[in-house]
Amino acid sequence: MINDFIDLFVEDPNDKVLRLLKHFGYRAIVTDKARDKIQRVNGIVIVKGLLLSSKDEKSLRARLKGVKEEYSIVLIEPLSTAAARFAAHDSRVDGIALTCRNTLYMDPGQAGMMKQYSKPLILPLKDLIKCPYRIVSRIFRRIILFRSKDINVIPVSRSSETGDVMNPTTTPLFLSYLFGLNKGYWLYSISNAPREILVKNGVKI
Amino acid sequence: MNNIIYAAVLLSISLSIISLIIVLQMYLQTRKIFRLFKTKRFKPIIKKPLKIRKRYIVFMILSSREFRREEVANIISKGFKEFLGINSLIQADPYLIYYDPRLKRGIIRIAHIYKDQTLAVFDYVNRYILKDAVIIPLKTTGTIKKARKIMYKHRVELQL
Repeated sequence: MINDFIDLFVEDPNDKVLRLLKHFGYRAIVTDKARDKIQRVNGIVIVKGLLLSSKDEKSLRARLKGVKEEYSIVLIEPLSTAAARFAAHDSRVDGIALTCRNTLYMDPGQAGMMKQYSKPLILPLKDLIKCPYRIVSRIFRRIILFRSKDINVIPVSRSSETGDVMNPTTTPLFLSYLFGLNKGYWLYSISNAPREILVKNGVKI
Repeated sequence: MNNIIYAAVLLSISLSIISLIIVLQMYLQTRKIFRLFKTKRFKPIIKKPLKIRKRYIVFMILSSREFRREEVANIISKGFKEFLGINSLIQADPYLIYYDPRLKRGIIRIAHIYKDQTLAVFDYVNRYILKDAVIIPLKTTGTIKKARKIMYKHRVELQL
């Protein structure tokens, strides 16, 4: 198996989760519960990252102040149009999350801005499964819109238990059947696309 | 002296003609190379997805009993889920835009890639979910305005 997969957000990297990640061939994960900015446990690089959700631009601006000194990767879940636009053009932000709560703010204008500032779209799978089907179909339409503009869509597990961990063999197939995109693309999105983000932030894998 | 000048002029003209020919040849060859890249063999593996367009299906219900809007919406989504699965339900996103309980006619909005499957779902609903009624698709259109026009004008005398 290729030992090159990266999960851009894991909520609780306990021993069981780490063992399973190692078994699946993950090389690096991002979590907010890491001690140092970059550390290595059992051959897996653990990078300190943050997933922020914010309702307005002012609070987001305050929370982002000096955030890069502590965290390597910063992901934002915007809960308003202003916050989404601010996150799209801020250089400290590494990705914008699309969840059940913020599908309405991810419009073509946001896609254009994310394309301009080369920000990827983060898709937490744990949230996706909990959404009602009408919201999932809205997420599907958003993904088609973002992919038509050539913006990377990166699935993250946001896992806290072993059941939530993304299996790199089945997840690309599941996503390609659910959203109708190429299986190869989803494989790229859990291996090379997150690697580019880590390398851009100075993480050596 | 004059002869030397004439010779130099002739030489320069001939050299310029030769260089022009070489440039033309190079242009034609590079064009051939670019054409090669444009062929199907060199298409990128990861294609961009097509834009999802909307289609509106006008349908009518033939039944002796009354149907509420929520009931019709539930029946159609249940039919989709049972017949094509949750995956298709997510991609097609069927939504009952309008339903007239007096006429028993309505309009469903779906993704254009699932317009044929929706008609198949109507048949499934008629056979397995609805036992005392029949859903008949009347027309598929691209605009809601046209769909509404069809809904009120399309042979209303059959139902009333």
